[in-house]
Amino acid sequence: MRRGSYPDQHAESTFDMSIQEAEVPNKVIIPLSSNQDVHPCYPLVSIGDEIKRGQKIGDGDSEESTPVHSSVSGRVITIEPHWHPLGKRVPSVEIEVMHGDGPEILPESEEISDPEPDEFIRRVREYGLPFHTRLRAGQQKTIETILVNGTEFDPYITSAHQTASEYPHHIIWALSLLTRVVSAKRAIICIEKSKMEIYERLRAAVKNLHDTAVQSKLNILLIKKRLPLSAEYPLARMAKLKILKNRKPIDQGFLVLNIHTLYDLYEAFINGKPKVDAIVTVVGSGIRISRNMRIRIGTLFTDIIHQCGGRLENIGRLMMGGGMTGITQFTPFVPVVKETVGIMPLIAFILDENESHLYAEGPCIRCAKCNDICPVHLMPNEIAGYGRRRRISEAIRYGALSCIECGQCSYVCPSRIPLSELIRSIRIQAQEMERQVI
Amino acid sequence: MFDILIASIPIIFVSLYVYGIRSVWIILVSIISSVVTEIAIQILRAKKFLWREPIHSLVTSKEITFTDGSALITGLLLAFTLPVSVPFWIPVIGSCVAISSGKQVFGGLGNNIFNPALVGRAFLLASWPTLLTKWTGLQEWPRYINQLNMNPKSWLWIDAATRATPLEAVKLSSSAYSSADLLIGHGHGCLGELSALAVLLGALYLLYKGTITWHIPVTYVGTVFLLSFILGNDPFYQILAGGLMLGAFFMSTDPVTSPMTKSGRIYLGAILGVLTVVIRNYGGYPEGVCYAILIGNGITPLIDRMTRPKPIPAG
Repeated sequence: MRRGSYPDQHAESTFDMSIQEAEVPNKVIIPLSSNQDVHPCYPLVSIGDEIKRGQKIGDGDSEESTPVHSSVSGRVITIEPHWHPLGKRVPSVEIEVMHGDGPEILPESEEISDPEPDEFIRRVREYGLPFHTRLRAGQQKTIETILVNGTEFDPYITSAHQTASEYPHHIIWALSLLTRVVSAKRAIICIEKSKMEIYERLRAAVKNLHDTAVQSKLNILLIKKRLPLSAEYPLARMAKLKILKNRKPIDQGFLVLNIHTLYDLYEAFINGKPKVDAIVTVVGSGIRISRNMRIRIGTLFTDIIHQCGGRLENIGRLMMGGGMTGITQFTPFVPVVKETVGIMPLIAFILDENESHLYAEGPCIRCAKCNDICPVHLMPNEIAGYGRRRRISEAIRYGALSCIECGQCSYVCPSRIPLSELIRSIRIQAQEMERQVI
Repeated sequence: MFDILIASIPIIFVSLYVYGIRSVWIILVSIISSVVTEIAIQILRAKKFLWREPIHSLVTSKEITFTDGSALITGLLLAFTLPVSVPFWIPVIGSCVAISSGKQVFGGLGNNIFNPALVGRAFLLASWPTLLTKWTGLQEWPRYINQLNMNPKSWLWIDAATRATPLEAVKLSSSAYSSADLLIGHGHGCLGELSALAVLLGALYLLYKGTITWHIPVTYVGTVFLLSFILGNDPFYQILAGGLMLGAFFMSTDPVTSPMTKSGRIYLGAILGVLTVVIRNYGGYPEGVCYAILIGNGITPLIDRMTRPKPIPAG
């Protein structure tokens, strides 16, 4: 097991700050799909239509695509490509808010105790949760263990912790539903050792469950480390479960998810609310008040920054996500999407020409710090080198697509090489190549 | 890079104590000539160099990278592999060869196959073997201070009493040193191999700072110890004498020329140990560390390829 790097969490600024509702913006821009190349999504509305909150506005043909719902009530202004925070242009629906927080229509919720797996997956997809693809992948296999990563890997970001500590009953309910549906043998929530309050709250929620059969399957585990969101292998190892390196975790009966997914499941199946808002930590030096917010999907980052008392002209760097896995944005006019867990606006850090070379990128000296730290056993420096030379197929052969984008390689690199970003660009180039070939 | 400079301070002090001020001159000449060589080659390679404001260009140019300290370390390590009695043009030529054909021909920092300092040393040893194997006797500080006068020549003057190095003494089967002497620093030889304790002190600092990992040095020294024991030599004597400690902790751990995986580093350490013992016992030279590490550098890409970790498939 590799050591990993654990920078200071700096959670003080937003930890234990209850989730606030963000103001409804004047307009929202809702991207139709985050991977339009592979599973395209088509608009179901046309320009000028009046739509209501929760209405489905986009859907795809294939089962792998995820429908998109409107987060506000209003009128469609345009449907055209717009910048997505992942750095590409994606067809998006721009909606002008008309009735403020007006009447909502939501898909009616039927009280279901035990839906069939097929029905369950269909409904998860209907509610716009991207998680349904992983459920479908696991459908043919027997899922033995559900692992929930309750740790928060990124410094400064506390949205998952906050969700778990405010809605422990919701999360346990969703987990018990999932356990019944996929008929898993056990479900384990991993919580960081320093977050005892969350542990206690979740335990209390487990005790309150009526279903004793499921109750015995749920486990809450204290682990020492913070782990990246999709690190199935280290998570299973920390939970002292048997996992093989050479096979995919889903083939070995592991289903790994995070706190946000469980909360969304509850909202969908109890309140009948599709994925129309995201719980986001807004933190950074570029704004006056850092806080956890429930933000409607499609709200532009600029609106959030204004709401939190930040000024656009002061902000030198804007990231979606936290300090480690965050993606730097080149424009603040990008919307909040389903995957957003954090927004970090930082004030300008301007270096003049004489100083900037001190922070410039240096050559790789093969110190192998990135190799030692990679949680999925890649050699990031080699892969990034291939990516630089546009030798994409070699980069993929050495595992570029297994990268979980935890950002630890960029963090430890003494030469300040943006390894994680380079590998991410390889993934995007590989998708483009795939599309061109087809 | 500057961590290595800090770590070599004890070694410099020991050489200063044993050989007098001349050892510092040798080190300085070597460092300055290697930095100057690096700057000269990079000016030639730079696409546009502003001759109007040369100092400013030197410091801020992206193509001239002597400020990263790698040339300085090469010069320092080269000086550590030289005896104190060499004329001053030896470190100059050695540094030029080390930087030019050891490092810059491959494309500069990060691309060299062989450790540049050892390339310089190998070149010097092949070209002027008599100068590089002439060892001088102990220079005592009180005697040195008594000799000092206004004549600058006396500042560099040393007493040239030739004596066998510890490893040559073994070859000539006239062991004149005890293991404790070697550890604390009464050995004779190159500037950097006088005291194993000083090297270990610097190595502890490097390990603490995370600049080097324990894998190569520990397996290297361990293999030499074990093989010497099997072959009937005094194992403590073998690991403390000569340049083994310096080579294991300062030369073979050079990240550019050592394997990237931990298992690869352990294999390399074992290979280096075997090569060193073989050269010491059956080769023509009394010392085998330099050539062992150069051979090890040569097979590093092969080790990297064989020990490539398997990525965990995406879930």
